This record gives sequence, structure tokens and C-alpha cells, in this order.
Amino acid sequence: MSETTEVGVGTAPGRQSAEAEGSTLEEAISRALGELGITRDEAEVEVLSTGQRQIAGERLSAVGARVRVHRIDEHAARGRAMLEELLTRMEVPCRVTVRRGGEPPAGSDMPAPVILDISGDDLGLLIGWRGETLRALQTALNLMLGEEDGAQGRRVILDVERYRARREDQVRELALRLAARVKRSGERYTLDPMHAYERRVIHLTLADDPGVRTESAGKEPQRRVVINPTGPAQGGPPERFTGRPRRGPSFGRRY
Amino acid sequence: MTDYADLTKFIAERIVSDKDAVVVQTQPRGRSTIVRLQVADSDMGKVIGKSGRNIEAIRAVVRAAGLRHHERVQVELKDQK
Repeated sequence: MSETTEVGVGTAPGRQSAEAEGSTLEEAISRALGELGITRDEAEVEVLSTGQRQIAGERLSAVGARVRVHRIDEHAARGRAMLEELLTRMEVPCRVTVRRGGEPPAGSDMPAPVILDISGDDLGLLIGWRGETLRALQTALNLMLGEEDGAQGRRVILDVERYRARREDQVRELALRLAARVKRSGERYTLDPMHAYERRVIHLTLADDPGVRTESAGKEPQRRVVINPTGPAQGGPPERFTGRPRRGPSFGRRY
Repeated sequence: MTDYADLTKFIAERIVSDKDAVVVQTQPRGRSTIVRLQVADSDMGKVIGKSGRNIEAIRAVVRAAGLRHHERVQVELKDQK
């Protein structure tokens, strides 16, 4: 991976991205911004390492955080401007930052999708029950940007205070725990109905586990993931898990 | 006080092809507010979306704006008559 990119077209000569380290994420970001000589509003931040994995109940403690900061591209800038205007009209005081992350669409050389992260106080109403409002906001924004049926990589993804990222972690954890249970008991397990993108997280999480096979069954919006064992019961310590994801300490308000 | 009509118009105008045909009116009804959205017939499909996906997204966004003021806001879509 190249450290930085030299560029000379259209813009003033200058680097398009810079990498920096710091003892905290914020420190790493401001160092990288300083190197490019730009403000946070002109940048999109890619977190390479938070230094340390976030532990439940603990604030994000970053030891040796590492980030790459990119000069914002036109597509991301347009998305952010549109989102800011929309949120202003909704009278939701908040701040929108651009983040790059996630996996690029499979089998393409597209860049990783642009993630717009909304931060502020009391944003539960933007999330809604299980992220319903957040998904609606994302659908509406992409429609307004004219990306609804464009290339997948062009769509923007919305997140509020990393709600989506946290929720994904929870679903992944749930998948691993249930897979262990299925292998122990040798009995299939049917999960509660979930959204397509959450089901996808489960399928992907367990794709490499030869001990289980996952499938989706039923019709939307009642479609559920079924985890099937591929062999006989392996036995093990008794089951204590209740079958529901634990709520993290900062799972957030739900409306 | 959030201007629900302005919000709805802002969203709708960026979705449709015929901006001038977008008409939005609000009407208080009991404890809730009804937002009547009218778009060109040719834009109906785009505004509604596959199995209502788009209009439901618009409704959810406007509803969320109302939540801040503990108000119920409903968006109704009507075609040109």
C-alpha cells in the first residue's frame, strides 16, 4: 500500500493523503491534517488502527492509533453537503465527518464506500428502532444524490456515532456464540428475523467455519438466518446463553 | 418549529425530474400534522419506489424531524388530478 499519493491534476500541487500516528485517535488525525495543511472539513479519515480493540464498558483507548487522512473527493463532499443541508432542515444540530472504511464491493476495484458519520448529542431519533430511521435517511440521501441505482460503490453509507459499527460487532459476536452452541448441541438454530445487512454479517462471519452452514429462510420482513450443524453434536459445557444479543453499555436510546 | 413542508419539498425536489410540479401543503389534524406532497404523474414511480421503499424513507425522515417536538407528522402522497 502506498504511503501517500502525489497528484498534480486540477488541484494545487500537494499530497492527496497522509498517514500519521498518535497516542490517541484525535492526535493521529490532527497530525495527519497538519501534514496535508488542511482542516477536518476538507478531509476524510480512514482509521488504520485504533491501537487497541474497544472493550465493552471501556472508552475507546487508543495506544498507537494510526490513521490515513485523504483530501476529500467531490463525491464525498457532495454527499456531505447534501446531508448537512437535510439535517439542518430537520433541525438536528450535529456534525458530519467523512470516513472511509468497510470492504469494497466484492470482485471490483472500486474504492471502499464513503461513510458519512453523524455525531452530536441525543441523536437517538436519527437511529430509530434497530436503526430503522438511519436506514431510511440513507435511502433518502442516496435518492437525492441520484445514486439509487448507480454503481454500488458510489452509494454513501450513513452512521450515527458509530451505531452501525457497534451493531455489526454485536451481530458478529452473536453469530459466533450461536455457532458454538449449534456445534455443541448438534441442533440447528433459527434466529429472530433480521434485516438483510445484518443477515449478511452473520453469513460472512460464519462462512469460514466448517462446523456450521448458514442459510436464510422465510419471506421479508420475517426472513431469518438458520445455523445448521454440519456434523454430530460435539458436546461441551452446558448452555447458559439466552439467545439474545447482550446490549452494550452504550447501545443508545431507542425510539 | 420545524418547517415540515420545507423539509419535504427539499427532499422531493431532489428526487423528481420535474421540480416545478412539486407542491407541498401542510394541514394540522388534531394532534398531528399532515403533509400533502404532490408530484408530477411521471415522477410518481420514482417517489414511491420499489414496493414503496422511497416514499417510506421520506416518511421516516419527516417523522423523525417531528419526534424532536413530540409531534406526529404524516406525509401523504397524491397524484395530479
